Amino acid sequence: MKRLALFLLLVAGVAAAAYGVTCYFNSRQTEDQWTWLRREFHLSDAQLARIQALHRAYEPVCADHCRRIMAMQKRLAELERAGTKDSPDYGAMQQAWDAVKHECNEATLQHLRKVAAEMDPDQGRRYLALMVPRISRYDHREPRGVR
Amino acid sequence: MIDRDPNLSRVLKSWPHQPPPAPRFKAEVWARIEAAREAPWAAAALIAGRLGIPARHFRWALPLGASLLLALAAVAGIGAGTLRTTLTENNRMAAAYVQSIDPLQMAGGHVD
Repeated sequence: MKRLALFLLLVAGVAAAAYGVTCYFNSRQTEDQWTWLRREFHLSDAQLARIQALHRAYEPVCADHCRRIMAMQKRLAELERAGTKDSPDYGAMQQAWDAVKHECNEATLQHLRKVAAEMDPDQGRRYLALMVPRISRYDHREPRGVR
Repeated sequence: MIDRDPNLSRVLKSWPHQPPPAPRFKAEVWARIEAAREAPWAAAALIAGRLGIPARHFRWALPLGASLLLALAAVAGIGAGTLRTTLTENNRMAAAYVQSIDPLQMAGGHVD
């Protein structure tokens, strides 16, 4: 009985050691974004090139959205600090903020759909399933950073 | 014909055949008994026996079933580790990727 217990302990130890060593060595291997995207979604050279072109085209749009968001967040924070949360200015700014958020979300989703369309259908669906929740789960109820 | 030869029968009956004892007979028998006791089912010992390697070198070898179970545990550990790191890495890369294209997440990091 004691030998069996010791042996089972050895089995568990071997499994745990193999798990730990695998995790350690796998976590040391890092990839850049494009290498990962290509490997994970089995992209061909042509598909990768088209997706990279889509990203380059989207970059200025994204940067513009980013600038507008930051300006609005700053303005909303100023109004909050001034204690004017009940003022029409704040209400209007809040509405504008919601509109910008909606616009940014739509633009991001559209970009993701364009990228997915360049992939093989199954991979495109998997891509959207992996990426979209990471955008949708964003808190849309109040401006980020404004507390 | 031979049975009927009385001379031959007499000679055979009186023939005192005493073969010389095999050298190290007892030692070899005990060595086999010990080897069987110490590594009764070890596949390594069986293979080694066929190759002429003394089984005493495999006194710590595990039985075949136990060896297979250990190998299975190692494979399961490697598989679980690979699965976990793949999932973790995918989540991390996907989060970083979305962050790089989502202006709302980008701006969130810049505002106090």
